[in-house]
Amino acid sequence: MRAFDTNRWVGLNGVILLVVGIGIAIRAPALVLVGVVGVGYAAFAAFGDAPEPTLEIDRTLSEDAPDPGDEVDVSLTVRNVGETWLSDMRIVDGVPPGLEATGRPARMAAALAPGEAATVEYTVTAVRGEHTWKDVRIVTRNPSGSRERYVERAVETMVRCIPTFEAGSDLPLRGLTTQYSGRVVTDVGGSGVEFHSTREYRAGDPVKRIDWNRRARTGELSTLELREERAATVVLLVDSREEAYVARNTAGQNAVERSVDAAGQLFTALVGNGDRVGLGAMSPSDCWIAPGAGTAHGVRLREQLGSHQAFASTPSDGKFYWPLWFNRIRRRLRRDAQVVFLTPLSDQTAARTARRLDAHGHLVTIVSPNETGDTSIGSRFARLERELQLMRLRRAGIRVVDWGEEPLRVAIAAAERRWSR
Amino acid sequence: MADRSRGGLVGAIGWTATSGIVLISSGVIALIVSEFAAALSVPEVFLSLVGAFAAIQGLRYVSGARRADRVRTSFGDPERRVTVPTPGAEIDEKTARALRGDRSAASHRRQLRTRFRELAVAALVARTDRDEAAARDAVESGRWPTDTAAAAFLSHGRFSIAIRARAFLRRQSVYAIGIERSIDAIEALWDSTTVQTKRDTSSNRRRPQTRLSPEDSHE
Repeated sequence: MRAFDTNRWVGLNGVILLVVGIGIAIRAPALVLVGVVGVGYAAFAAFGDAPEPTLEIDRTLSEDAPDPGDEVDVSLTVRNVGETWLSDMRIVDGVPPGLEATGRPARMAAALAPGEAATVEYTVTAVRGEHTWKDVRIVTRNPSGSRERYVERAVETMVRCIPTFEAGSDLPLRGLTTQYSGRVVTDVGGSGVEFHSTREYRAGDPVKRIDWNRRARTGELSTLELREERAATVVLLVDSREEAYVARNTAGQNAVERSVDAAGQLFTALVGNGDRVGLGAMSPSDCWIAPGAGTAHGVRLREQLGSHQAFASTPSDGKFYWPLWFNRIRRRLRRDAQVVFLTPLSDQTAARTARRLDAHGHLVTIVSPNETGDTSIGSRFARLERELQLMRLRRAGIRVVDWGEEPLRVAIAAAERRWSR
Repeated sequence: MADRSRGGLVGAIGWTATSGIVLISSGVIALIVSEFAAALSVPEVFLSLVGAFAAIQGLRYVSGARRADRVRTSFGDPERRVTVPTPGAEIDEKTARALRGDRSAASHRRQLRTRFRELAVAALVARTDRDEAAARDAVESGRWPTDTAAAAFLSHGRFSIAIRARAFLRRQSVYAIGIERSIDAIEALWDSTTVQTKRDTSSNRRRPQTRLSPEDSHE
């Protein structure tokens, strides 16, 4: 990049001219002499350009696959491999937007002779996701600081932090099932645990399902029909549009991070229960894993939740076009798929999506991290708007888990009590 | 550029630089060769004029320099994690703009009034036995809420003299009072009514502070 004037010494020539001018006008040689000193400073300011740095930059991490919460030490070494003296250089490392440097800052000021090196060390706390370092930003100046040059240098470094999702939350599923056996109690009579009906005995029916009470009463043989328990096809849909990136406070997790954590807990429990689980994102970044089952599928889901751009802790770049996205997700959803939609309900689009999916026959359960507060007029307004949305969705027959600051399983248990009434 | 086409020293470096070189060279020669200095003698008045001219030019440059922007590369704060907004941040921003009193304030007030009015109508429909038309009529006619400041803001009516006096004494905008009272009124209506769906989910929610006075009772 080209060097530019900083205007740091601008006005010095004016001061010199003013002093010399007054010195001449009032015949004061001392003032003219002071002006001559000023000329020296002006010459110093004009001396030299901001050097173009020729650098060798190396970034090392103490660990490149940490667990969430681990501290990762970062060391950035900059060596002057050119022939020029770099008398005034400022270096700022491109810490990934999702990470925060703790303790020491990720920047330094250095003066490097040819062959000399300087190192800056700092620590970042790992959070879920794949984090790529941005370009190192460098500024060089000439000795007087009147000229400055800004350059960026890429040093590829990445850290992958894939959490182990605990199967902590067992979300009750709705009665849309597959032909596979599972844990969702259906209205279909067959083998199971819960009583459904009785029917006339047919040869070959298991002895343990014969209604012996009726046989004793009437002498007729009849067979007990139990509610069949089948597996469900569930798609975990995470709202990760820019609008969904909201947080009650800046220090804590944002709504998308909480949604992804919740999706991780839910898929672990669902896969464990034999349900077929898929994953999607309502995001500018396309992410879709068709429903499936088994250990390999579980590993794939975990990898995607941990590292896909759509689930990053900061918003994805790019525009989100809801009609295009909705058509695509409609085509991808199987007819027997029910949807667990994880969204903070921060705008009308999320509620509209839930209603439209429900209208297309996919039973929808919303898990909604509540990030609203009551600290300002705006936050109180947002709380009321969200509660109105919750009420309308419930009236439309959509199940909602309103998830505040309590653990997810507590919120699910509270919602389950309401659903069972 | 035109000068450069003439060729020679003037063409190469321009008239101003040529004049400067000639004058400075004359000064240096005068310092060394006293006969030359005697030949260059100028009247006192001319010297004073030159000094005054230089001083004025110097002042011009200095005052120009005060207006010049210092250019520095700003690195921002890459060490900090990217922050995301809190829900309702855009309402807070709009409120701040609406109260700023500049040219766009009226437009922001209008937008805020529309948003608050829609919320009030929705809350009335949800929490009372009114249908949407009746709720909208109650809000737009100023019959709801009973708090006069909130009613004046929501219905775009006139603020009472008492509210204006209170705003004057508090050095506050009447709109600030109207907006705050409106959210108080809607919140009080929403939270005062026991609804099954709300009770189940309220375990984690802090109760909002309602700053309504006793006379500000609502329907």
